[in-house]
Amino acid sequence: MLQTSGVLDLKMGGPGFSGFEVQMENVRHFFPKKNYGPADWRRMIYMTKVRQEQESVFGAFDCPDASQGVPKRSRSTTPLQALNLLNSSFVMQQAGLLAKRLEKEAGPSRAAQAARAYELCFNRTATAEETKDAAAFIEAEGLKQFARAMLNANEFVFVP
Amino acid sequence: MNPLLNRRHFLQHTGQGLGGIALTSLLAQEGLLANDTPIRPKIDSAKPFAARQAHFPAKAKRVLVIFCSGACSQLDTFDYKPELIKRHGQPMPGAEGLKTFQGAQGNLTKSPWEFKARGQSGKMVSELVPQLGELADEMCFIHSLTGKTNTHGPGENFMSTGYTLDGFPSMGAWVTWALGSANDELPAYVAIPDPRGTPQSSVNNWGPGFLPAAFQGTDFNASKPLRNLKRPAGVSAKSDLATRSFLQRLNERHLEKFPGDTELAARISSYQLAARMQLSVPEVSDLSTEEEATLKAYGADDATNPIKAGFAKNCILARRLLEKGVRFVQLFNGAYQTGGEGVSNWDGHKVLHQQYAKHGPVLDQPAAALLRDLKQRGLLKDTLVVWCTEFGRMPTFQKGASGRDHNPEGFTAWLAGAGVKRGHTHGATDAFGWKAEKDVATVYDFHATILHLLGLNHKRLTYYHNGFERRLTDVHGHVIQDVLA
Repeated sequence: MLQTSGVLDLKMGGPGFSGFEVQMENVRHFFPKKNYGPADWRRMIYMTKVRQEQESVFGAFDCPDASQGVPKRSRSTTPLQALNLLNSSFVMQQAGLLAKRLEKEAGPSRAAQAARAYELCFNRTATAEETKDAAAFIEAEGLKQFARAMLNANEFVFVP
Repeated sequence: MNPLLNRRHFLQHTGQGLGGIALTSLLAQEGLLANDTPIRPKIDSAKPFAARQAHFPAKAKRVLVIFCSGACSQLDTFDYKPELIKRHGQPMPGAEGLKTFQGAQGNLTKSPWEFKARGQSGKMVSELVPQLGELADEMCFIHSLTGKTNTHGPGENFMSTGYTLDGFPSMGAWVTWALGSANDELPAYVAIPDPRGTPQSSVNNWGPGFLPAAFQGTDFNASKPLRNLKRPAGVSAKSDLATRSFLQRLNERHLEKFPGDTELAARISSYQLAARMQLSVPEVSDLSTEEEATLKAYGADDATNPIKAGFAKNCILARRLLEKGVRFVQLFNGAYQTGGEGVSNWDGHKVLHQQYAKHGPVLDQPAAALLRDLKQRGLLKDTLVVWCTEFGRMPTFQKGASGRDHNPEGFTAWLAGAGVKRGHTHGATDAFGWKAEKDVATVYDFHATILHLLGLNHKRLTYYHNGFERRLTDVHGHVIQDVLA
């Protein structure tokens, strides 16, 4: 997602980032971060894994609890995953960044924006029918909503 | 003598062995042998929450756990001890042997609240929880529970997961993994944190441990809605709908290239389900459709006590979730986030009277109303209600303080509803209410009993992990037959 929106920071090493705001008490309490910035836009390996706490967007995607080792990640498809990808502030921010990138790289033409999005998100050229449908959608609902849909598409999320 | 087997001995030994095998087989045919082979739920990863068969016909279809975080004192609520009242202010015989958490103990101390006989059963319940007391005839008390730890985090873990350590699956995760849910438009397992925050071991109380992560509890309450449920700010309903149908078109065109790919199809339907959830979750959380009389009965309208009103709303939410077929609801009373040591929870070490005087009313009316409401709507017939806490408290006050220290040697929980005796008491602590003495039960037994009521054999509900067939009850636990109706 970060790669597609063009903000992925590939710098190696250094301190990681956290998906949480921490409140100290007898024990620590973790609250999902509300705002994300460039410091968070790194490969997920740099994200501090808080045992038991599920990251607010990707935790629902069968992320192990991490209190104990698991030999194999379980796989499930649930509506909570869909809600996280559709509505979270993280994904909406990425959709906004992708929209900006499309505008910058493809110019004002809706068809060119659609074509560029297919290249970036699905790694292929769009068919004529796809370009037409996408361009009409961008015209009606704007680039950010289009980017939001692309980042939620099966073709983006899955390699069948 | 030749140390090797001779022919005579060989026949003797093997003959007996074969006889044993034959006997085992005969006993198994007759169903007389314990069968502990695992029963694995068949889970379709595309529909992980589909309802599944129990191991045997069950009395309870769903569970409500009311968890009092902080270790709610048995001696100030449900465990009446006349001897403690009689010897109030005297040293406790054998007090030097007490294993304490915060150090030296003072004298035996009776509860600041009086106990009164309730209902037909005449059960003695304290004036701290008078409305719950009125429902004593519905409840099945277990006064002889024993735990393995006198520390809150591990104690909560033990009660919620069967292990004192972090990282084991919660009871709700085990149950939904085994049974799925009766409603696919709502999460199968909901944890409702107290309005004051989360309990001490927080998400581990509803974590999946090493079970598939899909079976973790989804946490929300009446004041804190489910995360990412609402459409993003600045997106109109119309635009949101248009985006979803565009996404649907993208996915359908993609599926044409991979006909019959069930994972892709499942993901498409998960978006449809998400859309339904966006309607069903706010609907179930919207208490404005409740009648005024209901809000009043629960105390949700109590403007003088916002914490009580908040907990009352959580209680109404719990009922609505159970009504809609959610399999496992865990309702928390008490939190650590907004103040440890009894400030926001039942951990009354130093000023028990003052702190419990606040917590009692928060719990009492709302929880009693919930139980009554479940009964009135006929839900108590197939819903198991469990009231529990991580451990009990001492019959003495701490030295130089006016509160009770931790005590896992004997504490109280109660069950009500599907499959359990009404107005019944199982087990007892000693004369002062310190140590379980009669029909001593473990938390493992408690868990085995809850699973049994759900039609699950606690020995056969296992998950193979790290070389072990793991269970909620580890290698322990016996169903407490005496509590079964």
